[in-house]
Amino acid sequence: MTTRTKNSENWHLVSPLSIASFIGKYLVRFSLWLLNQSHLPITVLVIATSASIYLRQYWLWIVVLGAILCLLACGVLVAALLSYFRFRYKVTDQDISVREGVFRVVQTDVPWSRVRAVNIRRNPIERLANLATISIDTAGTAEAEILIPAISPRLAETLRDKIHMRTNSAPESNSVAASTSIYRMSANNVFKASLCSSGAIGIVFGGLFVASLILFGSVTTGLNFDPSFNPTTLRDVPLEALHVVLQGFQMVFFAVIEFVERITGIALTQSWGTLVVGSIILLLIVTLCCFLLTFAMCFARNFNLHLQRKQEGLSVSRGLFTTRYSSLSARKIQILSLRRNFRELFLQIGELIAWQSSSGRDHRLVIPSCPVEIQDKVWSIAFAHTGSNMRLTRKSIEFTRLSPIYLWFGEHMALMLFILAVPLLVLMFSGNFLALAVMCLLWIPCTLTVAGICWLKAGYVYDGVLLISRSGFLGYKYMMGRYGKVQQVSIKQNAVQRFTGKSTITLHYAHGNISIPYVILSEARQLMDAVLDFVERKETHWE
Amino acid sequence: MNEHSNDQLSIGDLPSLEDIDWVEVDRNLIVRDVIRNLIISTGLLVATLVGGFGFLSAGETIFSLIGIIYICVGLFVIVLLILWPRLEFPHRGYALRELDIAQRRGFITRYLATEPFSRVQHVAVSQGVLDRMFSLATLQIYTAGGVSSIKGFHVDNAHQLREHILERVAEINLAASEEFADEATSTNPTMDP
Repeated sequence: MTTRTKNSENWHLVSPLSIASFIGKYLVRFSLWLLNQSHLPITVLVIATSASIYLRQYWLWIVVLGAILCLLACGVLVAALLSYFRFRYKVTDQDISVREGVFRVVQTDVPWSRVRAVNIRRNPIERLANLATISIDTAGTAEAEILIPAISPRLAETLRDKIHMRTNSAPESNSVAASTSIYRMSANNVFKASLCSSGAIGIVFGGLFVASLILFGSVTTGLNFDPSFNPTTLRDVPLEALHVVLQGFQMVFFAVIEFVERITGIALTQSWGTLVVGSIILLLIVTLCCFLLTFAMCFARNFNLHLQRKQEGLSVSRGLFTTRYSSLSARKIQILSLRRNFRELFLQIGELIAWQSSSGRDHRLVIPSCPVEIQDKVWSIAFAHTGSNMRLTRKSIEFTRLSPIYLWFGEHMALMLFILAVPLLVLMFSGNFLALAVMCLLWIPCTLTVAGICWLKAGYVYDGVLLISRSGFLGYKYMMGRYGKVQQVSIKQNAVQRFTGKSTITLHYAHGNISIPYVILSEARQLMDAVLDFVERKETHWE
Repeated sequence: MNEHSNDQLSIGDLPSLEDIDWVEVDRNLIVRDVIRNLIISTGLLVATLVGGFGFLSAGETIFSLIGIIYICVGLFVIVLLILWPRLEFPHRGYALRELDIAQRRGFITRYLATEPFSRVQHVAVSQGVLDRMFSLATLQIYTAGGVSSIKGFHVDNAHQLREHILERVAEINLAASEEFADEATSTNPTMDP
């Protein structure tokens, strides 16, 4: 063991190219600050808007907005430059330290024994200059504890191997050699992943919403806008502001319509009928653009995804612009979750996420659009050392159903309340018993179907070392956890559960929990005892 | 080291939480909670009375009916708030075991949780203003999965318990790290094809 030296020569400066990543960091940080303190810019903008409308001097507004953006840009640039000059790092046998900060200097020392994960990522500038950013995570914080931009990739690799050697307790000789390729994502699968990502539908609906807002604005202003309207009192300012906004929407709408007209050569604005067709075309275009955007984002994130088996763990490299390499040892996996929504079920793929105790965003292993056989393979690597006989293949696992009481009092209880609430409301407003009957006929089968599907899909199975829970409505969601990583166990019984002798058992992990509702109380207690026994007597060490 | 063992567990042999002797917490907790709830219900009382008599003074039958229901519900909630600590107390308890600490609570929704000492990160004792008046304290046990707090200890007990838990944690972690070091030096993990 070497003694800790305190001389300043060991502190290294990073390459000047790191300024780019500092700019990115401060841009995000300042923008977030502006968003959090949104009353500040919004107040300024509202005052500027009202003043410019009241005075009829619209350039004022642009000047204020420009000034805010200029200030932001200057601040980011200055902060990035200053922090580059103040940034130092040091690597010793025991720990890794970073000293940063412009006015308040913060030194972070992380001993190697506390490090949970080391990950490497390379943005385009760094890739051109053959450099890398390394981020080091401990279990404590939500963000990466230490982030060193623009260092040589060889140093980054050495650091990562160092940490893997410690945690894998593997001999040094084959730590680098033994990596076998498991899965390379094809362009076809990237396309599937973008189809299935939860953002896809959201963005499409967002696009539709914005488009319909534009339509609404254009139609209302087209009918009501009065160009001779002249605000004379302060009370008219909000009205005028609304008109300006709607006029803006109208301008956008007609600009797009005109553009479409010029391209297609069809006169859309001649009559209402053609205008409606035009609007539908516009909506379709917006939707298509939104989908292309999702696809581009997904493609940039998952381009060239390569899953490898490394020693006892897994490593993934991916990304078009910023390449990210993340790896984790199988022993560190807390929860393995597999999500298959209805599109993913249809396409025979699934999204696999392996959580480890560190909570940084880069430090969970995500494999979108993972084919079934790869799911099995990852499963067997992740849980090989536990000795469990359970396999992910659906046929070999017999899931235990939850109690049917779950049908009536499960998570969809709020939905069930609608059965009572909606007809009552209908009765109150219409005073008509026919309406009540119709509502009941519509609502009861709907809610019962939803509850029934949820009940059919929910299930759990466990053996001596593993617990798998399954849930879902349209798709499936599997959560798989090891007893050895459990932090805390709790059993909860609400009034209904107490009356029927059921309970909800929750296993708390360092990252997320797995909970099974409506298990028989005695079974839950037995499971709790088994987990506690495992945690207290067999696997007292965890990470 | 048994890397791939997966022994059959016979559930009957495991130490069970069923036959545990739950330890009651300090009875002062009832008084403290009642006072806290009284403070909360003062605001509620004002709101109930103002709202209720507001409705009553409107003069129409439907409004006075709403006002009476309003006042009744408000008073019921206040009475429940005051009775609640007494109702809940018999179901509150903790159990210090060799390797973990368990707690239970809840009158309508029963809750039972266990924190193994091998997972405890740190332990804290917190005291609010009302707690200090009755020399009560809350024990907070932090694991990587979150914090779980046990209310209603006498301060001295809480500090004793905190010391004890920390000692046990240190012992268990020491044993675990020795075992871990042994594993690391003596065996190479074999790989399953």
